[in-house]
Amino acid sequence: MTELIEASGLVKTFGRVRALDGLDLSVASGEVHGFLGPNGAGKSTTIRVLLGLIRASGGSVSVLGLDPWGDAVQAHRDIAYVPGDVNLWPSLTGGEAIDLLTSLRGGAAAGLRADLIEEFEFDPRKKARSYSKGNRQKVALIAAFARPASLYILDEPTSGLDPVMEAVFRRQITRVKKDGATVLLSSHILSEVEELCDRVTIIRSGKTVETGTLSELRHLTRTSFAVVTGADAATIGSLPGVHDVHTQADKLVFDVDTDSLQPVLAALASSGVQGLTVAPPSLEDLFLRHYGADLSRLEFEKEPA
Amino acid sequence: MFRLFRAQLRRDRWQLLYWILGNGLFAAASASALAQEFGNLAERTAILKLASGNRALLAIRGIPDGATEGATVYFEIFTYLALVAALMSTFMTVRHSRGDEEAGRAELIGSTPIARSSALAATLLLGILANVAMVIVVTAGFAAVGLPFGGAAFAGLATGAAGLAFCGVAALAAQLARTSRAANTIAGGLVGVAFLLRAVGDALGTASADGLHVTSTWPSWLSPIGWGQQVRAWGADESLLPLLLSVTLAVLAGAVAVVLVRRRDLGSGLVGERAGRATASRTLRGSFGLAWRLQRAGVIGWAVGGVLLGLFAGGLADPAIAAVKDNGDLAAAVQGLVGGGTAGLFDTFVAAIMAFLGILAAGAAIQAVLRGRSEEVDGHSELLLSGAVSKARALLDSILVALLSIVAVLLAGGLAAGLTFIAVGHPDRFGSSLAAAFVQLPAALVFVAASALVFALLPRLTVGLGWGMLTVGFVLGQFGGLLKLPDWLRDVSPFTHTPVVPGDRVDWTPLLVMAAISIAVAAVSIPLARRRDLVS
Ligand SMILES: Nc1ncnc2c1ncn2[C@@H]1O[C@H](COP(=O)(O)OP(=O)(O)OP(=O)(O)O)[C@@H](O)[C@H]1O
Ligand SMILES: [Mg+2]
Repeated sequence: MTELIEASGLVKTFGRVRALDGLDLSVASGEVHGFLGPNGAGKSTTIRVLLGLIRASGGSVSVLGLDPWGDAVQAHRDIAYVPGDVNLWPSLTGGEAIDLLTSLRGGAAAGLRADLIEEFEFDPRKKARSYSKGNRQKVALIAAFARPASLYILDEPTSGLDPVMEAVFRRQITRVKKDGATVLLSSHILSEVEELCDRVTIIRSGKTVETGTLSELRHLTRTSFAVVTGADAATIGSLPGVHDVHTQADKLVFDVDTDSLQPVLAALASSGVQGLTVAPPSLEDLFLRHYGADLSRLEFEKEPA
Repeated sequence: MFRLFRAQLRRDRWQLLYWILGNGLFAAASASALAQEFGNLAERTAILKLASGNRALLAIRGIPDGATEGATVYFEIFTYLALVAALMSTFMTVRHSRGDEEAGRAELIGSTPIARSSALAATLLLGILANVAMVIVVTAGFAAVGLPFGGAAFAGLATGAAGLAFCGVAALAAQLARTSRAANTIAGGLVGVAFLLRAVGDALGTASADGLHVTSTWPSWLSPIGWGQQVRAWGADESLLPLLLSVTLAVLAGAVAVVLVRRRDLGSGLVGERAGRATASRTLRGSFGLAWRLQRAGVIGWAVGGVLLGLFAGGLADPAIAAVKDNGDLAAAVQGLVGGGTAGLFDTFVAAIMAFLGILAAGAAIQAVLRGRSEEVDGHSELLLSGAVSKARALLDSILVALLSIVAVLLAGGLAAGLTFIAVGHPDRFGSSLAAAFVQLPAALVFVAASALVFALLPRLTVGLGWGMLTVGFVLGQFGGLLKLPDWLRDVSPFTHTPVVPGDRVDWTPLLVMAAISIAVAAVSIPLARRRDLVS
């Protein structure tokens, strides 16, 4: 599979601020790639580098096989972009903005434009200054989807959309994927990422901390157990791979590393289990772990109270 | 409200300080230069007589009232002190009212438990404070160079009152218009109208027999700048009474604005919103189409200013020159100084007015280039440049729109002057009027190229330097002689190099040189723009 986006060791400094600090990202042709990270991690900055709007201070990057800084114009003919903050021209109507933006890539496909306007239930005749946040977002989305592109770069594209519109958005992603397009999707909405993405990259403080398919990543996290059992907390806690053991009413609650499930289950089986709930590792846990080491520690400290 | 006031003051303190100190410095520098150049009464009498005779001078300066040192300074520069105070007040008021509302900051403030009119009240208070500071600094500027304190205080008060009046006007405009741009256009346009009314009223005024006093006609009394002029500081008829008009205007307009802000919805204007087009017209599809569309309304505004100046040049030349001829002494004095008979008088009149047209054209052009910067700051460039548009192309678009703006303004002014001349029976002046307009083009080009270069190299300074260059160019061009500035410094301003057209001996070389420099600088800026990050 060819890589449509290949970035390695990306560095971007703004004065003293090091927004990107050796970031790696590779997106294969035809995949929907989730791009995740806490606020201020450097997602939007990376995307601006990929679009050649700003120049990387270090590292190498290619997009569609081109240098995004030097060959920006050529690359952009094949890229549809939805920025994180959609700032429209207040004096243009939504319809005018859509036509203007698509014209810069060669013009909208007429049927597609009309379908999208209908699907997104969008009124193109109003001046952009009177649109709500969700409606501004729709302008950028319709402009992005109204002309086929080989790469879609979407920076939090569903912020401000209601659930119905979010579903429309997901259908559009499925459609362009079927047409063979590649999508880089930065998002904070985990259900969206879980449903749409083939692979994800998680970044933090300008560095890549994890990349892979969702099941690969799940592997790195823990399964939670709530067990009603005769065994005491100390015994369970001494098993390798068991974390955060505490009692909750009559239950013993703890987390287990995926790799250690087998021995823990064996130990439980011999301890007389009267009740058992096992929760699969949620994406939420995965992200919380990566988004902030401090965050999970904080929660742990709160628990005894 | 006082907390809001403090916050607004904090945001603006440097900017206001520049405006105010700049004005004080201008007052002091002109007064001391005038004292050096026209130290004795005879010299001052001579220039004032010349002014009473050459009505273009009355239009672009003011009305003389006696030949004391102070009165001569007041005649020469008061209009501009008032103009600066008025523009400072306009921009400041709009920035904090409609500007905040448009940017969504007003929504945050509006959600807190304070009255709906508090923010506007705080802004008006800031306006009062800024103009009080203006009064003090201008007074101090004049007094510092040894002019009598009484007159200096009158001059300071007249300047501050003009500023105050436009705080009110701008507050009102900010309620009527829906965008800060439109509000600035309305209020800034009214500043221009105030200047023009005063110019017409003064140019048509009647001179006393000795040529040292001029009584304005009624249009001057419709203008807040004119009211200040009528204070006649250091003059024989010195009086603060006209300032009652300014204060009344400020209070009335401010009060209406407060009533409106209490009654209307946040974000709404008085002009209703109609449904617009569902699709873009063919001309809007593309980056140049966008650049032109965004600037179109602005260009129309500047061109209307050009038309007014043209009407003024063509329509007032006759009566202004007639007013001189009726006054035998004056006519004789002027003949000795200008030469060339009536034709010479016409030429200097038209050329002096067209110099202002050149400033308008440069202003329109700078605004077009600066638009590229505001697009960047507002996040619109990010959308545009994510399409197949290079940064170099975007700058080229701005430059082309700037060029179109210059041509539009000059054509509007030149045609208006030429057609008016035809209408009043001087068809032979049509061609020379157009020439007088278009001779201003190369100087305006220099400003386009210089702002483009700043945009490419120092994006964050574009707006400040852009308007700053125009201000410096204007001051050096219009007041370089008065301020006795050395030639090399005056030569910095492109306006200094624009030849006097119509005239007998016109040297075209500077025009070609300025055009060549502009093209070269612009050609360098465009590829430079490609090399920098998008910075908000
Ligand atoms: N132009 C700039 N000047 C200075 N610092 C900047 C600039 N742009 C971004 N930064 C900094 O770089 C870091 C990364 O910001 P970025 O916008 O890329 O984060 P993000 O991952 O998109 O966050 P979010 O999820 O909130 O959108 C932040 O610390 C931000 O303050
Ligand atoms: Mg972001």
